[in-house]
Amino acid sequence: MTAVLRPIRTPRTAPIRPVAQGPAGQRLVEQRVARATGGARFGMVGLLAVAAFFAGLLVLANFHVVVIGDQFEFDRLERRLESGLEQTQVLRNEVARLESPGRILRVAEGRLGMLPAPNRFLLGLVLADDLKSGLAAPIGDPFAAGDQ
Amino acid sequence: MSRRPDTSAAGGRGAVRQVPLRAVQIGFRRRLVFVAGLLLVTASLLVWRLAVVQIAEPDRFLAYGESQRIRSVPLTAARGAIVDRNGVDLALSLSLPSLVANPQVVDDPLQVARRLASVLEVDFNFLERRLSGDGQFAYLGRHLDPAVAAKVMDLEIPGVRIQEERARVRPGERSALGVLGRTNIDSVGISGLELVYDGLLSGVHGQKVVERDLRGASIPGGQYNIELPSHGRTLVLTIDRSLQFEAERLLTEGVERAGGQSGILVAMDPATGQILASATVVRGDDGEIRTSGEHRAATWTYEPGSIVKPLTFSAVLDAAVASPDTVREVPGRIDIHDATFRDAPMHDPIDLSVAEVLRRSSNVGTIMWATDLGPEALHAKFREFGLGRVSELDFPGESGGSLLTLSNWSGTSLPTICIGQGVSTTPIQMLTAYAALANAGIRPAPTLVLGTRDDEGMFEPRRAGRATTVIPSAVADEVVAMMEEVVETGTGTRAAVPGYRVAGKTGTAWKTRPEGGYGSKGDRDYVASFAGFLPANDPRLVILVVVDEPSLVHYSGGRAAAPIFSEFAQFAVRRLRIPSESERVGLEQAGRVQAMTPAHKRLLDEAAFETTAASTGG
Repeated sequence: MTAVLRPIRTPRTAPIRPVAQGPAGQRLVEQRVARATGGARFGMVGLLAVAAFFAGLLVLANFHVVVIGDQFEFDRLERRLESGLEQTQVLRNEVARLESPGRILRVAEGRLGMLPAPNRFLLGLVLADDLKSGLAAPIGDPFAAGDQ
Repeated sequence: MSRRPDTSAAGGRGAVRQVPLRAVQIGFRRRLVFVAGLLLVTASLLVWRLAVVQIAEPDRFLAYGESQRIRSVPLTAARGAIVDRNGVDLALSLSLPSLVANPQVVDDPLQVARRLASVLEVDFNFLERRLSGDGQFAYLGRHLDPAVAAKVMDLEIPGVRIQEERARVRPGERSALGVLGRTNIDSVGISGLELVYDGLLSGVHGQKVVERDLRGASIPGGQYNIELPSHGRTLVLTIDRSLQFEAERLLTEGVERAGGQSGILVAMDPATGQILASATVVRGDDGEIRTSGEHRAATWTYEPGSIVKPLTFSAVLDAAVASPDTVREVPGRIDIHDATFRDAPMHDPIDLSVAEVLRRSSNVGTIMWATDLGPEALHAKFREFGLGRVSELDFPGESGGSLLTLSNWSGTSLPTICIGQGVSTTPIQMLTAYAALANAGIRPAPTLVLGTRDDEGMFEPRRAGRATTVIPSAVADEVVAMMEEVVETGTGTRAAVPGYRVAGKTGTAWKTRPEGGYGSKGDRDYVASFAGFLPANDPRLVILVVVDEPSLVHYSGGRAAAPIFSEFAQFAVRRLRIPSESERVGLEQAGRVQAMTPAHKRLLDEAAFETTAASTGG
């Protein structure tokens, strides 16, 4: 086993400072008071700085949360827009399909059992001064809202 | 003298061996140097690595980092829709599910194929082959019905998933298919207007580059670049969906009634050349007549027969060779070179005016007047009417027909061509020629497209083709008057439309055999046609009906094609709100109140507003 012999350490003594007395002592007290006041101020400033730092962090964190929330909302709206556009196309197709004359004819002749008219009669126009016609010409617009 | 205790004398078991301080210090320093060196080397390595990463190969690592965060999402440009003149969708693109599989993940291809075959209603062997492949991707079905896709997903088969793909759909099924054309499975136009306007319809794809986290959510404040896709433009056609459907329906019935093999019906606005309906039906191998996927109005040529005669007489009247009232003796047959031309039915020589010749569709009379006119003038006039050259329709596969150059005419060319044999035209060419007669002698450029519309609804009209004057309006009026007699008392009485003045001409042409010639009497094929327009005094609609190879009972244009013309015209005048003769009188009567539906009133108000705006320059 190996041991290391270390030199014996002697405690260091702090240098003796001269004690101030009289007017000089009074100055020392003032200095101590001033130093104490300055320290308190420094402490206060430090405290405020730390508080401000944490407040800033909180604000930053809150801002970050808002940004993330908005980003999620943005993503959601973007997906909704895409889905809406796609749905528009689907509905357009459905409307066109339902309105298609071929489908209407199939439904009319199939499900509803309708038949094409065997004859088509065209009604002659009745003029106001046509004395030969047995019918009187309509007065006003028969399709007008109040006349129906 | 050293103050350190001398430890050199210590020894023996259990004794502490005294090590000189210097040696310890040297050892310590060595270790220190070693550790420092090690740290230095490590630091150097780190610095070197840092330099490599930051300076030498920054792009590589930047790319590697970005590849982990940045997602590039292709934004597919939607293929533009095709709509009719009223904005009704005729073809549009949808996202439809396709069924894909990773064969490496599918455990039992046989079993999976069996389960899928019953749902997809496809061949079991096909699915089994696809699922047994070596690759990692295989299509099992494309552009499926969403309900079918949902059923498949309910089966929860590992390795089988749904992939959304754009697909072209036509809400009207086969209606106007020949005009619209088709796209391939990747939505690229391969025929018809889908092919012609593929560049406009396709648009330009975009891309979205976005930073995403592990869960796929966007990283706030991260990279976000978006190149918006430029969606395809909407193509607005001149076709009216309702007219198109009715044309196909009536043509199918008419061709069936006439026992024909196929039929074509084309309708046009003579003032603008806009084609309102273009239907083609063919008899399939199963004997059933259905709408064709081919736009034969532009791609098919035939010898038009007697419907060419109004063009011949336009040339005769324009050259002042005769007037409608000029009378000459017309025999029942005429021999020119080695050919004999006859009238049907045969008759003794009779005095016929030019108008009578057209009304009776006399071949001999027409040949005699055309001979007086001369081949040069006839050929030139036919060219001006647009025969023998591709029209301005701009349709893929459009034929130009055949009109021999004058130097190639034989002795019998003039008599055959002036009655519509020995010359081949497309239905569009004949229709446009008739539109010239209806439009006071001005031949419009036929068109199927009104214009295009962008995403925001801005409409850009297609530049109209050039209209050309073929004959003076006075000559056109005389020819129209002669054609009116054809429908009133001539060969085209079945084309009459109650309440309207109709001008037209029947055509019954011999059809050329594949081996050449027209066959012999009793063994001929015919092409029956009727071309006309209405109202004759203010034409708004020109219609051509062609029935290919009608049965011998109904082989004439007057029997096979004219009734289809009449039925379609009766529908079209209502659809297009073309007033009848009596309605015109009523509209012109002072103090007359016109009964109208709210929709009709709105249309009239809009028209009045446009007229006012145009007159004030607004």
